[in-house]
Amino acid sequence: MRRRLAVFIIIAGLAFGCQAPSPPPPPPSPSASASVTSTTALPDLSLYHLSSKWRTQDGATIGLVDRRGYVQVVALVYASCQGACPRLIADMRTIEAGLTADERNQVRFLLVSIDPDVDTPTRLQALAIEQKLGPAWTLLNGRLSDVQELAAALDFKYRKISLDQYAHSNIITVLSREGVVAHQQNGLGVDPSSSLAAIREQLR
Amino acid sequence: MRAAALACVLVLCVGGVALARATPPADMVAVQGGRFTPFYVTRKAGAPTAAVEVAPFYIERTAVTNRQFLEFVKACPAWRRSRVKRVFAEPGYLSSWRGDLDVDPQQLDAPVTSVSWFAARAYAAWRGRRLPTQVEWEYVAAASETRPDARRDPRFRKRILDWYAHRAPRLPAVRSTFKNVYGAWDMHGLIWEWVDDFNSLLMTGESRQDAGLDRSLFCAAGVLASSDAADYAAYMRHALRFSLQARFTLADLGFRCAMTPPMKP
Repeated sequence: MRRRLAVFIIIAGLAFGCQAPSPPPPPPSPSASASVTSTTALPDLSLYHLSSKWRTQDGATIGLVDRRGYVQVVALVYASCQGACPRLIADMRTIEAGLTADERNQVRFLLVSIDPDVDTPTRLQALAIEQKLGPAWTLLNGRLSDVQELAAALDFKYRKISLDQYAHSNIITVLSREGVVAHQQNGLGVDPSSSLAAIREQLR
Repeated sequence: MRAAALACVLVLCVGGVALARATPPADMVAVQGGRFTPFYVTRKAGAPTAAVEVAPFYIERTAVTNRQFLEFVKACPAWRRSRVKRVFAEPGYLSSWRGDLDVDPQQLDAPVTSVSWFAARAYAAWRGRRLPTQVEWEYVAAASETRPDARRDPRFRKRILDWYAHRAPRLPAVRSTFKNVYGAWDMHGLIWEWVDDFNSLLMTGESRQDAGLDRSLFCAAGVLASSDAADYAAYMRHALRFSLQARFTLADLGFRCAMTPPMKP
């Protein structure tokens, strides 16, 4: 009887022990807040204040700020997209082809996956090969909440509509050398001239 | 002896389940969830229903107040009005406050507004929480004082639309409108509220002749349709969310936090 009582008390103690007082709040972790010290010279509107970390198709880990100094052409896509994404990428290649060799040295292309669970760096490497993307292209895999944050900063809308399909806007964004949104191109098969003009404006 | 062991295990399991349901933090309520037809549904060919399964979650009883947000900016200087980066909050950020750390004492228990999505997310993360998803928020907002889903009740609809039509010039304190069946206050009648996935709506132009343009603006967006054309209040909320950008602040846009219940070990 005493042994049963002891066992019961121990188990009851364990059960109520689960109800520990909540721990003190964790330090702020979203990348939006952690950017004060190293990036104070960035303009206030720079997306490079997002200190999120991403994996490239080559397996490297980078921050968005690592491309600072280049004009960047950015789109959010996913690898298994049958509809718009291949065309969006084609539109970005059209922009790339419209630049002179000298301009191309100062411009980088960025594709960020909105489906990071599926679009691992390996999958992104395969996409880069499929789409014949050169060394100026970086494809990024990141945490879901970081993707959400970047998407929100780019005013990009998306939603998962089935196990492997997303509905999403079709936007190509030009970022200045300092990571500020300089231009956005909405739609597919859009004439690249306004994006090219925006890139040239930022290269000056 | 075996009977006693079994009894102990049973006590533990039942106790465990009871705790899993009954231990949201004191300022939150537990929502069991269930099947729910959201306002915007993915219409798939042949699918008779577009209901989704809402997993259990916790949500705060009231919107986050000025008092609470003040604690946050005291702890996290990067989110003070004079220091916040413009990419995270437009110039209207906390414009109703008197200073970085100075709030009119009469406003302390009113919901904090003029906060951007980034700021709301940062507060939620600081508390170890998150923003509710759109579906979670709408699930809780469907409830009246007595019914979990009062969306088709014309009187409930009318109350909401009346609130939307007449906004008080000065925000009253939280807990000043109504408490719904889950124990959540002021889901309607006080402020609009940020949700985590506010940018998951893809609405296209109203005009039929925009059809070709629409298809190029959004990939696969044509599959979204409204499930209840008469729920005008829901339409307004969704239209508002669609119009927002993450850095925007509005004098009547605040938020409350949610949390996914921890898994029992």
